[in-house]
Amino acid sequence: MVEFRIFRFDPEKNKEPEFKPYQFEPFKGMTILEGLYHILENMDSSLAFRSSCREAVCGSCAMHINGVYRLACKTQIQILKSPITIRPLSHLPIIKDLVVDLNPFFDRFREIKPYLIPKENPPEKEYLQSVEDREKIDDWLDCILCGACYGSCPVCAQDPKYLGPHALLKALRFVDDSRDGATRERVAFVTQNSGIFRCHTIFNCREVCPKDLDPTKAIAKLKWKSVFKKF
Amino acid sequence: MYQKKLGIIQYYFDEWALNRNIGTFSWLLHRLTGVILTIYLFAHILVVSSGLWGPESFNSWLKVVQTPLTHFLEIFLMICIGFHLLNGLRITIADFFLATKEHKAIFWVAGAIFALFMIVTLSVFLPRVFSH
Amino acid sequence: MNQKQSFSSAYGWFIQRITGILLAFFLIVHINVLHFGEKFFIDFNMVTQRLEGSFLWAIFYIIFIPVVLFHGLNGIWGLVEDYRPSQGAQKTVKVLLWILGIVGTFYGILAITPFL
Ligand code: FES
Repeated sequence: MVEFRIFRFDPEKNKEPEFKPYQFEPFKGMTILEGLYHILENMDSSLAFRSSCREAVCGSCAMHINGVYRLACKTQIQILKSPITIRPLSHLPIIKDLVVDLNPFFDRFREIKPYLIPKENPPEKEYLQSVEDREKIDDWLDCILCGACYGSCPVCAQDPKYLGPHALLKALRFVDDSRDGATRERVAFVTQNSGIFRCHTIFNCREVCPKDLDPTKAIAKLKWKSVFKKF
Repeated sequence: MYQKKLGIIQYYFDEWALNRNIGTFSWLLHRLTGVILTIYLFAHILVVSSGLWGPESFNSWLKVVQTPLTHFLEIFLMICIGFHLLNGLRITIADFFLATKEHKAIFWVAGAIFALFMIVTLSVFLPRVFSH
Repeated sequence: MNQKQSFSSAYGWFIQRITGILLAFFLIVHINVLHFGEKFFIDFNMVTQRLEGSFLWAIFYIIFIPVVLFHGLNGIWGLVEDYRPSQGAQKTVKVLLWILGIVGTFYGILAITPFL
């Protein structure tokens, strides 16, 4: 028997959120996401949450589970102690239950221009990149934009304009890319007031990242670059 | 849509409630000790500056600030300094040498140094507390 | 991304780290000599005995006091900035902190002179 204590908030019914308990028998290897589906299908059809791929690829199902931000589809019920408390991501407006409004999150992401800006004259066919140059960005590629780092970063709570670990990681991904032509502008942009220097090296983002990325390191690297202007 | 209101102080408790890990712990204490130390710094300068009005004035001020209670608070001050110094170095190492992977190991090394520092501190300050 | 950005806040972060490393050294010396003395009671004589007549100590404090004030007040500034104050409030706090720092530096160095 396992007990889920789920954060419930319906904007049409309640003013303040509440926690509702649900008990059921899990099978071996059941994930939190499967548990949520079990509740949705058999116990309470009003429960709202996001999910899509069920295999830690799409980044829809990040939530706060027993004290840590994780992907519901990547976490097994077995490894957690019952009761399992589930909350939505922090620092984002809550639409219903576990569904948050991700607009602030993606607005910050768009600000850093998360796409390749070519150098003066782009090549005729495709961009060529040496193996060594490609290896330089290996560490920053796997982000699935789940929002776990954004929820865990205390700075994002106070400053909604703070770019956030996800955007800064992506910024470094393009700064380190040998094909990108806007390196200087990118570093100048993240050096703004709500940029890298709001980061207090709290390490939460790297602790929670379900893809084992290291935004803290990315931000430290950007800080270094912005001080010594070595691009 | 619902968004929790941010209390200026409550905010820190909220973050601690949701992220109970080494990083958040150090960050909270780093802030707290930083503010305490800055306030202490100005108090310290003011007390020492009484020497400008001669040795008697300085000595009478130092009598005021050297009581069992203040000696006890001094132990607390040393905790603040030790923590802030060691954690500051830890953050600096992470920032400068990109040693983010090792931050937990550095935390425990710093903890061991802190324990040694506290042994020295207590051996000096505890006798002072009880010397009155 | 096209708006003009300055790199000035970068130096705030960097100097904070550098002053922090310096302070680690300064504080250990300062505390060791003056707060960890074997004597139970610190008084005027004890302090003068330890600092008197040394040119090195004068230089030590002339560097130490501005560095520690900068580190402390810059730290407070970082804390204030986190709360996203308005432009006007930012300016007021900045001016206030600079005044505190400069006055504190001169007064602090002055306060050391009787002991040297
Ligand atoms: S459902 Fe796609 S990441 Fe969990």
